[in-house]
Amino acid sequence: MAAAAPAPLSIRQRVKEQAFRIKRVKQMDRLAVGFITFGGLFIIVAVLFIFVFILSEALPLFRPATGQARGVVNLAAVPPPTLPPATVATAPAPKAASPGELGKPLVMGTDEYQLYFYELLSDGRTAFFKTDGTFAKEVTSTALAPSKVASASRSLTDNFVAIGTDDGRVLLQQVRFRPRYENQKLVDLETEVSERGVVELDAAKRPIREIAYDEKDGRKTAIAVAGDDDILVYRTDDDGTEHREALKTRDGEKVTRVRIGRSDTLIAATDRGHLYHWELLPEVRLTEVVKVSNEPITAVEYVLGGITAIVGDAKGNLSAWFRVRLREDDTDLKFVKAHEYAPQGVVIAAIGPSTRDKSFVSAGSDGSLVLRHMTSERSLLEFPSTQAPVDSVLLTPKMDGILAKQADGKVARYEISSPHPEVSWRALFGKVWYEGYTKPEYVWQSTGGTDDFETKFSLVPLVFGTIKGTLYALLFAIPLAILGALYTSQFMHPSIKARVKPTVEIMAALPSVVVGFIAGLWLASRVEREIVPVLLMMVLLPLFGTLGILLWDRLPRAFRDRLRPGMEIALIVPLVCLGGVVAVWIGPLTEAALFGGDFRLWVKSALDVVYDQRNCLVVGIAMGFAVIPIIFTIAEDSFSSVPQHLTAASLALGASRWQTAMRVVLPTASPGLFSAVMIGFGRAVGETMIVLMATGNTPVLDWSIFNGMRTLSANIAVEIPEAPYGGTLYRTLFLAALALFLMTFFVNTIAELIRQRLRDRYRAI
Amino acid sequence: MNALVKSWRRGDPMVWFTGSALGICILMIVGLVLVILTNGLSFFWPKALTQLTLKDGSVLMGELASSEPIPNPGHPDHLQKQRLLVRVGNRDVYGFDFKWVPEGDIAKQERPRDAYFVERREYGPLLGTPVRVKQGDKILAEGAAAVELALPGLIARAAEDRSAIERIEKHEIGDINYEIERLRLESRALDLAASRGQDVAEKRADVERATAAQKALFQTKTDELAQLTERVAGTWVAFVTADGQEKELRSLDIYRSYAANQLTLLGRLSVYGGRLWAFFIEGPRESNTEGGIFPAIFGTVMMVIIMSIIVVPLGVLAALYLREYAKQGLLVRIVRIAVNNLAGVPSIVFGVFGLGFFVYTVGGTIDALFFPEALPTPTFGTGGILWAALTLALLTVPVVIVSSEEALAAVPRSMREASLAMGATKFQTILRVVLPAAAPGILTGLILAMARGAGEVAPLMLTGVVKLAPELPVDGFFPFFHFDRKFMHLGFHIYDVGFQSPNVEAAKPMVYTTTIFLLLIVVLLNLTAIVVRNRLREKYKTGAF
Repeated sequence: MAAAAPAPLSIRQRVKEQAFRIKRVKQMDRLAVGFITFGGLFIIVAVLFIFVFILSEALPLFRPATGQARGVVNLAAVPPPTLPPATVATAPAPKAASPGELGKPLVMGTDEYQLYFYELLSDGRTAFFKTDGTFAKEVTSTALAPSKVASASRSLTDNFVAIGTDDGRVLLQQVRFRPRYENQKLVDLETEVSERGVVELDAAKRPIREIAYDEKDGRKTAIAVAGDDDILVYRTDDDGTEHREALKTRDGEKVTRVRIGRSDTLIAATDRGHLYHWELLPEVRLTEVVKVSNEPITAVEYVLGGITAIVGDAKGNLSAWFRVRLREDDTDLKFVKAHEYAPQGVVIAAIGPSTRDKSFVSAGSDGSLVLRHMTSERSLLEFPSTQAPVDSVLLTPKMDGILAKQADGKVARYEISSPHPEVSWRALFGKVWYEGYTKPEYVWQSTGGTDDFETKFSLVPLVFGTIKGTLYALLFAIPLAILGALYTSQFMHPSIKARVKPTVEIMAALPSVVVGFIAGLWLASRVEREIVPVLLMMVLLPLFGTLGILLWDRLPRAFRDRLRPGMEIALIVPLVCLGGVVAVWIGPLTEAALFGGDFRLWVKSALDVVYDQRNCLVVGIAMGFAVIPIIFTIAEDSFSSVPQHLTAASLALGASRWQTAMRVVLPTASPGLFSAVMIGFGRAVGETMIVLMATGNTPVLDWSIFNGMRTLSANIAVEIPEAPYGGTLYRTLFLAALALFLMTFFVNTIAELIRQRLRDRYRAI
Repeated sequence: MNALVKSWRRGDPMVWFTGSALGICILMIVGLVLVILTNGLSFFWPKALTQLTLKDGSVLMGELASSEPIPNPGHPDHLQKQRLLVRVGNRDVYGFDFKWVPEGDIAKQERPRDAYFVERREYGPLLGTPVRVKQGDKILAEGAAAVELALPGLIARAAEDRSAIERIEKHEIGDINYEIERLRLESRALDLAASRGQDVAEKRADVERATAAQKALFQTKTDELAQLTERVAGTWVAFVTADGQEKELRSLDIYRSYAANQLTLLGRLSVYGGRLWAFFIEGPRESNTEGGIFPAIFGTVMMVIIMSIIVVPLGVLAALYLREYAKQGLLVRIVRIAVNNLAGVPSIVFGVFGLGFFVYTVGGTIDALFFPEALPTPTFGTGGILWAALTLALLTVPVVIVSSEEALAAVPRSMREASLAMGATKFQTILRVVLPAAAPGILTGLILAMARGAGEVAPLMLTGVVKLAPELPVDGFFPFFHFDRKFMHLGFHIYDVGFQSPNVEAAKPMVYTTTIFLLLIVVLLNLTAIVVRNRLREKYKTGAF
């Protein structure tokens, strides 16, 4: 009705309408309170989430390995041998196996996907099982009859299986798995046992007590032990020529284990705790005998790569041994005990190395299992004793399980997850004795050429590089920035000051990639060529600037009067230029007089320091360049905000401007200076592009100013694009980022708190 | 003497000493700018071509790039005589671009009139004297003078032909390829739908029909391109190098040529301008060591714009909360310090966060939910312009928060009180009074953030920058803005060409020029911020409130 006739609204209606409008506005206001509070809090939380996220990505590094028992597979399901019983009965058997022992497995293995595992039975059959324990198929060795199996072995990689018979023969086989795909999905594996030859190794036809067999590029090596101390070697060349050797231990020591190492070497362990090492090429040679234990050695195994041998003895002690050249002039390598592990307490029955990294699992005779890592010496995971004696153990190829074969023929399965076995606090921050190194060292080396390369994740060289670069940068930047700021705030004429400050502020915004580019491509080559002038400049530039005061007194009075106090800088800049010219001019003369004409050669011979083109001097200058404006701005601010009445009082009492600056301004502003230096430190620590471009990025531990370094930040930039998501390298780099985050956050917070207190103090004065 | 001692006591030399420190700082800045400017600006200047006849009879021709004392301790002239760096070009003939020539070996130095500097598609410049123009077997022009007359026309036509070829290659065939790829993904999506039990027969037929049509179209276009290429590729220009080798060049591959020793000052200026303009608008060639930097400029600007769109609302919202709504207490003080310090956290840390969170976590999730048909090729699960912009937004949000807060705090209390007294609500006051008054301050923060964002490289290296992006992040295909694409960036371009390029020496001058562009952007943004800030201060100093 009101709409129909444009009559003036009644007061009641207008009040009502207004009330409605006000209500809406108030609603809006409340809504805004909610929205802005929520939004603001959300953003602040989101920004702080950065820290939480980086932490959560780095933390899994330190999580222990996890695992659980997956039950025991019973081999009762193996059907009896399909050979006619007559053959078994008539076979001449010096050590006749009882019928109950007939199916007892000697060696086992599994495929990459853990679909199958196979076992070599003591009657020579190879039986394949599905992982759930159901029997799949069997393959009977045709070459075995009429003898019996006395021993067997399996190589760490590629499933080379050797059978030693009771009449001195050796049967070589390989178990192969061929994956079958359908629709790009793995459906099944084809299993196969291929015969690799039969060798009559012991002329005396004694039983083979212990055997080892491996092939590399088609060259076979098989080692058998017959009797107590006879080691029989069989090997073929590239062209298939056969070689046989017979070796013996000293004093008839009883050999307990033999193993084949990398590049045609073999080791034999004895019951008196000795480790024998032979080279097979170019000629057979006993290279070393070393006492590794006071107890009989019960298990010895090479970890992946065939360089380090893990030795386990009858008391449950475990240690790792590899051979290095201890001194540079040594001709021979010597065994060193690089690592010792937490003892297991019972006889070490077997050791199972990983095929992925330097982890291994040690099995005690009581069925206890410990997953360990060779280099980090960590005990990653322990499974308590099952009371069932274990005689063989293996880590599955994907490091996701352990199979432990018990003496009664059953196989205990364990599921494990050990994503970062090589990382521990000690590996990251302590000295670690890596394979092939003569002593424990700090090493960062994340990628290598071969499959069995061990990644070395010591953060120490990177932290060192960061500190080194930062230190040289600050050494360069602090004096220049703080003295410059002192001059600007205390002595400079305000009219120039208004121009100088914005210039320096823009310098702060200079992209670091530009500074890095100039440092790497322009400065580095010039500094290398003109190193002596550059070093001279460090002295001559300030000297010439300071000597300006002598010139000042001799200037004609008319000219001097035109320049008001605080205009010295107009004279200083050309003088400093002159200092630079003089340095370049007398540089070659100095070099000839003091350093024999070539500074780099002199540094090499006199100080034994190699001069790199992209070195710390260049980084120091370049990074100093990036840090100066920050320190300058903050220092200048804290000098300038010293209350005017303090300086005025000092000057009025007759102090000179320098005395006022030193005795009044500097002490009052000193906390501000400290915070300026701290913030400069924070910037230098995290600087990435300059270091990346102006150093050689080599992770070395060397304080020399003439070589490079690798910093945490540059390391992240270089390596993270190639780091697989979720891998150890990836997480270690997150840890490095976390370290940078914490370092700068901590330093900046302190600086900020100091600045706030300083502000409060000035307010109080 | 007495005066000197007195002045020593008063500490005057120390004043000069501190002044020297400032002097060194100023000289360093000036020096850096001078190095960049002289190296960068001289790059496009057409230098004269000098022909050197050496004492052993060999002849070489090129631009004299620089000279230095012979730094060879074994050489008899060690540091006594100069050696010249000559840019001889003709990398396809010699295998190198630059050559050092000891001054003592030079028998004769001259500037041949007919020497030409030819910019071409690959192998860097060709330096030589033109001989003839040939079409098929037919000789169109013979001798330097005749060829010189013909060259400008040839080059102009080559440019037209190139753009015609590019139109077909990039746009028409590119469109078809894009469509075919889209259809392939659609068909993959149908596979996935079929595996879930949906009936897709009808749609599949549609897709297959469309694919066949596009493939037919592709064939015709390829044929058309082949014909065009054959038609325009038949013209050859032969040059002879200083040492007498003849080199034939397809006229299609010539981008620019000039007789370096005949140019007048005006001619040089026009070559200089032309090169500078081409550098600005063209894409890179020959693994970024030739051609221009347009995609890098475009990528930088685009990334900064996306970043600004993200960072302003975030920063202002947080500042509003901290300054206007939060209860001022210990907690807010702590948050303020934390936000302040975040600005000091190294940029690489933000890069690591961007890679882990945006690219792998968020991007990986988006891919699994919305682009399953493209997997395992990641769409958002790899670095891209959106992730880079988000990372930089996080990096710069403290800058915006801090300066917005300062701007909000600078709005006089009297203004707020007046507004509130008139009955406005708090929100109305903020919206209509406080924010407009604080706008210049917020703008300053944004500009500073943009300057920082434009200059950062380290975090981008982890979140989506590439040395050569085949496509710009904006094009004519729906949805026009492709936030998943990788992009080029001026700062990364400097790093990549200067340090990862196979031919650093030849590319170096170009990097200096790129540096000038980057510096120009950053310094201009900063200067604007400073000017705006000063205006703002003036305004509130003299304000009538």
